[in-house]
Order: sequence, then C-alpha cells, then structure tokens
Amino acid sequence: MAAQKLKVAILSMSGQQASYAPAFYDNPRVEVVAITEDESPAPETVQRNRETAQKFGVPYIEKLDDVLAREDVAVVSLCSTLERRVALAQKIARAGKHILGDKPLTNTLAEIDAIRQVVDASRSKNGERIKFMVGHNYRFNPAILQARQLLQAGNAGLPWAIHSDWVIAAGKRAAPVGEFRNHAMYPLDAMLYLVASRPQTVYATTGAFFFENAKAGGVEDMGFITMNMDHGIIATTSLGRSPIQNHLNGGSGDMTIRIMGTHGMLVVDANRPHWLVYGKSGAKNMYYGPNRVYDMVDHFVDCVLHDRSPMCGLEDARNALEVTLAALQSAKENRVIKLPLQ
Amino acid sequence: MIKVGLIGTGGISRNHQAAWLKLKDAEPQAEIIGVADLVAERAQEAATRLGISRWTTNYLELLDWADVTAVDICTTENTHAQIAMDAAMRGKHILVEKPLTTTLSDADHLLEVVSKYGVSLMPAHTHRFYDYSRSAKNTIDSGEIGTPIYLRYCSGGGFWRQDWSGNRISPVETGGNVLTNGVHIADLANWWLGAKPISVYAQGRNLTSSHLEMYDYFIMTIKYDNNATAVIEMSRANMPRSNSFMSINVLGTEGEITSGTEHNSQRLHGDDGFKFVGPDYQHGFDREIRAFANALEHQEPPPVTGAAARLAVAMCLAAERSIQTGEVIILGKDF
Repeated sequence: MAAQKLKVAILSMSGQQASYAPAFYDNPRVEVVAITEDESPAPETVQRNRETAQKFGVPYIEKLDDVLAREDVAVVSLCSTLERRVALAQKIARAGKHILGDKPLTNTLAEIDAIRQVVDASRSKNGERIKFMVGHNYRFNPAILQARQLLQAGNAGLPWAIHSDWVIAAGKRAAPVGEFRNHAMYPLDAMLYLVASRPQTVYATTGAFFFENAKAGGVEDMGFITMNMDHGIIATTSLGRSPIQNHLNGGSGDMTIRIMGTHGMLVVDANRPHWLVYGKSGAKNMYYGPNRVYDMVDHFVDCVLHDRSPMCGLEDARNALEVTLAALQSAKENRVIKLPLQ
Repeated sequence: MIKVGLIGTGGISRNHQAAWLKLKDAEPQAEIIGVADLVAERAQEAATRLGISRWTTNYLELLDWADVTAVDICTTENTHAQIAMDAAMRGKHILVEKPLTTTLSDADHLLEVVSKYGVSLMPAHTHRFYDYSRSAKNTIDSGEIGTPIYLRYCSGGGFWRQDWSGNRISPVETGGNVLTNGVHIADLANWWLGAKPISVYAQGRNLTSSHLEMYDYFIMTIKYDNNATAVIEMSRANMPRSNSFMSINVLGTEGEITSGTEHNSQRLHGDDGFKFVGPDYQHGFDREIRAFANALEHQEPPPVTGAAARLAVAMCLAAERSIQTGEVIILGKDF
C-alpha cells in the first residue's frame, strides 16, 4: 500500500506564502488539501487565495476553523499579518496541527514564548509533539549547509570570527517593519548555526538611507551589527536592502559569510553556484543550485512524518529576534547591549 | 632641488628609498643627501645603496647638515614625535611615516611646533596614493554611487614575519597594532566618506599567542556625523599565514563599488597550490613622495594634513580603549 500523503492546508497567500505554498504543492510526499484564511483579510489577499486554490485545484475554505476541525489535515502553513500571528499559531497548535510559520514570527520575545508555551502543551491527533518550524529558509541554502559541514569537520579549525554582508538589492521600498525585523533573521540564524555559539553582546548602527517610506516610517533600510559571542568569537553582519537595480545577483544582492578559524578561512557566498550570463537583457549571475525553500519544506515534512524536531524551531526564531531587538536598541542609543535582554 | 635627510633605513624605509631614487631624474627633482639610523651598518648600507657618502647614527647630526631642507622620518612609531619636533625647530620640512605620533598629546604638541616654525608637515598616509584608493575616491566624488553610507574594509593576513625580537609586536614601540595599521584605513575612510567620525566601537583578539601583548586581529565600527558607518577589519592572525584575503565594499545611496582580492589579483595555480598574486604596492609610495616633493617645490600645502593624521590617531586610540572597556567611545571627549 502506498504511504499516505501528508495533508497540508495553506493559510493565507500573504507574506512568504508565495514561495512556501508551491514548495508544499510540488512536494511528492504532500497533498495540499485547501487554501484557507482567517478573519477579514485584505481584498488582494483574498484574490490571491482564490487564484491559488484554482491553480492547485483545491477548495478555498474561507474559515480557518473549518479546516482545523478536519481530522485529515496534519499541517498548516501559517502566513498572516504579523499582529495576528501569535493567536493563529496558538489556535492551530491547540487544534493539534503542525506548523510552518512565516518569518518574522513575532514582534517580541514574549510573543514567541507565548506561542512556545501552547505548542509545548499541545499534541497532534497521534499524540505526537507539535512540530513548529520557522521559515529561516537560508539555513537550507546549499552553500550554508555545505559550510556547516566543512566547519563541523574542522576544516577551518576553531572559528574565532564570522563576518557577513547581507544587503539584498533591487529594492523599491523598505519593509514597513524595517529591514532588521524583516530579514535580519536570515544572516543571524545562519551565523549562529555556522559557529554553534551564542551571542553575549550586541552593537549596531542603522539608518534610513535609501527609501522615502523608511525615512517617513522611522525605520531602517540599512545597518550593521557586531557581536561578541561565546568562545571569544567576533561576529558581524551588514543588513539591509539597497535600491541598486542592476546588481549582478539581482534582488539577492550580497549574501556572503566569511568564517575565520585557527586553521583556515572559509568564504561562503549564498548566491553560488551561478552562471555569469551576458545576455540580451544585460549581465547577471544566474543561480543554479537547489531551491532552499523546497528543501526547507521537505525537511519539515520529514520531521512531521518521522516525529523529529525541525532544524529551525521556535528557539532559533527567538535567538535571532533577541539579537535583532538588541541591535535596534543599540543603534538607537549608540551603546553596547548585553544579552540576554531583560 | 629638494635635499632630503632620511631618518630610519629599515622596514618601510626601503619603499621610501626606492621612491626617492626615482625622483632623482624626474620632476620635481629631489634626492636623499644623507641618512641616519641607530644601527651604523644599516645606515652605511643605505648610503651605499643610495650612492651617497653621508651617514650618521645620530639624527640630530643629520638635522645640523645645513643643506638638508627636508626630512623623511621612517623610524619606529614612538620616536616620530620627538624627531619631527627636532626637525621642525631646525626649519626642516617633514614627511613622517604613519602614525603621526603614538599619543594625542604628542600629536597636539607636534602640530603646534610645526605651525610655530612654519614648516611643511606631511603624514605618510600611503593609502591615499594607491590606484585603488584614488579610483574609488574619484568614483565616489563623481556621484556615481550617491552618498557613501557604508564602508567595509577587510584586510586579512598572517602573522608578521618576525619573532620575539622584532618590534612589530611591541605595544610600546608601535603604539599597538590598532594604531599603527588602523590609522591607514581610518584616514582612508574619513577621506572617502567625506564625513566627520563621531564614535568608535572596536573588538580585538590576540590569537597567535596568549603571550602577545597586542591585538593581532581587530575590527572597528566607526559612526559618522552623516550617519554613515565604516567597518575596518585588519588581521595578522590568519592561518595559514599565506592568507592574503582582502575585500572592500562602499555602499552609497544610489550604488555600490566592490574590490579586493577577487577583483584585483591574478590567480596562480602552482606547485604549492592556489595563490592570489596581488598588484604592486610600490606605486603608492612613489606617488606619495612625489606629492610631498611637489608641494615643497611649489610651496603648496601637502595633500595630507597633520589634522587629518591626528584624527586618525584619535580614532585608533579610541578603538584601543573600546577594545579594553567593551564600550562605545565618543570622539571629541577624551579623543
């Protein structure tokens, strides 16, 4: 008898769902059973929900409660506006469904803790722990996975510094929550993972340099974070979104991480492997490696099917958010912030 | 013809000597007419190399040679201030290796004396004269990338080619690695960004040996009055020591420039493995010394000012303090 497919509901075609949903849909071990929504979504989200449902050939079930009541649905891919996310995550966990949660998961550490409390106390219909994975998809970038393997095997010796430049390009406007909250978790999560150590202090600078909406909204579109970590590791990353429209890596911009260790140095470029293309439309680097979102979703499916803890859980989301919040405070006050945040 | 007394003949002095030799038959014309070095053999050797007869182990004697109109000071860092002041008081123009001095009080004192005796002083911030730095400066000034708001300068490398007898790891003689090497890029950052630094935060390690009394690795984060950030990272701690990784990135409000090893080096796949072969670095010294001679010849202010060099010293001393305290240091208070 063929194995039963994992039944997944897609909650709201907002946030990063545009990349998560196809990754579920195309996964051979998954059956997407419905697109669903929570209360009062934006009209354009409803439109996307309907279109996706049609494209996938599945029903659009407008009430999340109706989906959560279904015994056969095991997983919910959770995207929503940030302010509804805690309540939704708790509700889905209480219904015994596993969750892939969009990033940034929450605004505050207390909110992550509130989610974790409910997730820890809840069980699936099979009596298993709820698997909660957060969409830190760069953890699944092949260059970063490969780097972790190289470091773990001691190829650079003991790491003593890790430096990243993470400035995405081709921006038209800043993320309304600011670029730190929007995507600092990508390089931060990757860095903490790569050197397997915890940060102790954070210093940062930020500014609204590129986009009118960042200036008007009082949020940053670019900044720099430097940390002291356990084992004396110095860790830094630039972080932002530039308006450069002709970057060779397109919107991916610069995504590099350099690790220096007692016996060597490793330079990782998340935009590799690529072809350098001089085409009719101009010059560009054309990435040709595995799709990190597909690999992330596949890992999550694996964890749900085999009752294993996913790689990027609530603890990882909390760690990245803690540094992000410390960095924002540091930049505001031009001083060093000690972790853990009180 | 500018007649130069060279003080200090080891280390970086060799690059200066090569540059002065090129000016013998060039325009403006200049030549070294005497050398001083604490070590007699070294002084004599340098004189021979330069094709001159006058050498001494006492720089004060050199300063008394009436035909010397300018000095080039290439001595150990903590001796710059005294030698430069002695030269200024005897009316000699001064080219002084970086850092200008190893303390701020020395810098202030020196700049006062220089001003009082009306001599020209040019701190040797060689990085202002390299092709890479001038092309970057021109590109920034042309507006091609808008206003520069983030500079990241990474200069990797292995441990100095010396043992415990060498002075590169003496915090007293050099003023520390952060100062003596950091000033290069601190000054470069100020020059490229065209803004005023307001605070410095720095982190440092002594990785090569726990007995090392200076930081063979440091990274400093400088905040500017226009909210730009410069990050300067310099390593003498990389293993293997053949590591020569370098990368420079300047992000502006409307564009970005990037260079470094992956853009400026040739790639040699040889018997000893893969190797980057970087560009020649003598041209910076050649251009710097020519600029100094040119300023003297035309009685113009030298292209690098004492005030700029003092500021770079202040930033690096602030960085040293920051490494020790773990705090952000606001410039303009104690620094």
